[in-house]
Amino acid sequence: MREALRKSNEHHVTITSEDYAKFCEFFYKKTGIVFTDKKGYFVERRLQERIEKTKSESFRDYFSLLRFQMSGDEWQELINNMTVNETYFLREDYQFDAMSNGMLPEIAQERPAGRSVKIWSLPCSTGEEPYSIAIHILEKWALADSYAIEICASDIDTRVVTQARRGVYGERSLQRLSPELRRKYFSKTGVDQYLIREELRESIDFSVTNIIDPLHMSRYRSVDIIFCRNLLIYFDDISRRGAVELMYECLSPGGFICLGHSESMSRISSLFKPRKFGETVVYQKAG
Amino acid sequence: MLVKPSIPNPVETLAATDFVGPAELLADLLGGGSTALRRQAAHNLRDYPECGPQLCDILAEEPRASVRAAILNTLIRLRSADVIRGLVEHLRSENATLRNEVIEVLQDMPDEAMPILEQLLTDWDSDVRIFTANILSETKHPRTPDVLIGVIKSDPHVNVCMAALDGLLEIGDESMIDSIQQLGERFPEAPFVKFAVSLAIKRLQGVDYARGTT
Ligand SMILES: C[S@@+](CC[C@H](N)C(=O)[O-])C[C@H]1O[C@@H](n2cnc3c(N)ncnc32)[C@H](O)[C@@H]1O
Repeated sequence: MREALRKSNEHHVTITSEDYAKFCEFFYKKTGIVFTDKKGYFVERRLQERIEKTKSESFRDYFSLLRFQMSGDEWQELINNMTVNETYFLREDYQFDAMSNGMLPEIAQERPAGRSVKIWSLPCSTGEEPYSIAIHILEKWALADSYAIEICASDIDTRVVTQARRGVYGERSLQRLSPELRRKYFSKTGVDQYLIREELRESIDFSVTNIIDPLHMSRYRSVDIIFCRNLLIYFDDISRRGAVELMYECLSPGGFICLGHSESMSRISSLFKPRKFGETVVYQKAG
Repeated sequence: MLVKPSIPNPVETLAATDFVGPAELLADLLGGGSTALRRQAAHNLRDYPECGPQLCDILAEEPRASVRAAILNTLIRLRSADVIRGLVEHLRSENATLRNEVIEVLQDMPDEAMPILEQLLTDWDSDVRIFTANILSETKHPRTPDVLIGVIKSDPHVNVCMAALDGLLEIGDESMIDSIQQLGERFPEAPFVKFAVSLAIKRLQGVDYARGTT
């Protein structure tokens, strides 16, 4: 059990365990994210920071601001501070192999050349995932030039979406890229700073999207492959089901969802059939 | 060739969506329109708790799995006592797919479902009691172990007791061994009970042993 009162030092306001529970419930309803007790310290520290930055006098003041501010700016700021944005180029790239060796050839079999193939990275965080998808397709899919490949990338966090559009990365992000790929797709613009080629930046549509918001999700239709990796781990089964339900609507018949390595569709939805490409399991919309 | 997609902005999408009330949504759901329309109606009904019982009825009639999934998602969000009562009625259905769907969603609302599940353990129909024991076995609720122990101590039907024993294997501990032993004595004429009981006891002792050593 969490202690009843979170005692303040001189800068901090007091957050009772009821306040904390109320906050978590609100955050969960809006984002699908569940804060486990293990994360309590992290969450509370970020919350205190926001209370301080907005000069709110109490938790209650801050909570009202969060809920009723017309612009929604503070809510967005809070989300940007609470999300875990860890990502890097070619993360879990066995799935990209499954895409170029399995899913894309299957899609191409049914679709005349010249038509479009839609791929969506949701969530995209700072952009490494959608850029990796683009690079992987250009490098590894023989039919890449025969189709109009449309890549969308979205995240709930406005700060990471802006970073993704800029396309500037440090060494840590690029670790898994060979020198050849770095030369081909990046220019070095400073110490530990690489800019991704303009053609790639210009060809991906980046947007702010909340996966559990039906209105946001209704903008995406007829998507062939959704990469939804390392997000559902932060959700409970109920928000996972909700997210999967909305993704179902976004996919074309026979479309695929790729989840992160520790995520699975079992218990969430029977509307998708697991498909194996090599050792990689992805999920296919029936019909 | 990479091509920049053009995605409508949220404002345009918003303009395209008119307000639709619960009566229209229910009519959409029942009216035999496209599955996409029915799914959307089911989804939007989550703002109308008063429609929960009707949605439970529609669930049993809806032929398409994707629409049923949307209805179930809405019911999980509504999670009122009315909804749970409507859902548990389907445990009596002959339709195994429907029953399994209901079992899964009830497990997702343990706090709300618990009181009604406890009542169901006294249902006249032993099949319903078996399904209930199955649901409880997978339900994360602090009362689950005690309730399942209650079943193995008192339910007259051996299969209901075996379903509860299965659940206890997953969540039980050494303190339950006495009650499990008594189960063997309650059904002396059924050799498989004896077998299951001794297996369960070994397993629970093993669990505690493992815990003690790590
Ligand atoms: C760990 S990153 C995963 C990035 C990338 N898919 C990967 O696997 O490397 C998780 C991202 O999910 C985003 N996120 C959290 N809740 C979200 C929501 N409700 N809708 C969309 N994105 C969300 C976070 O902002 C964060 O950038």
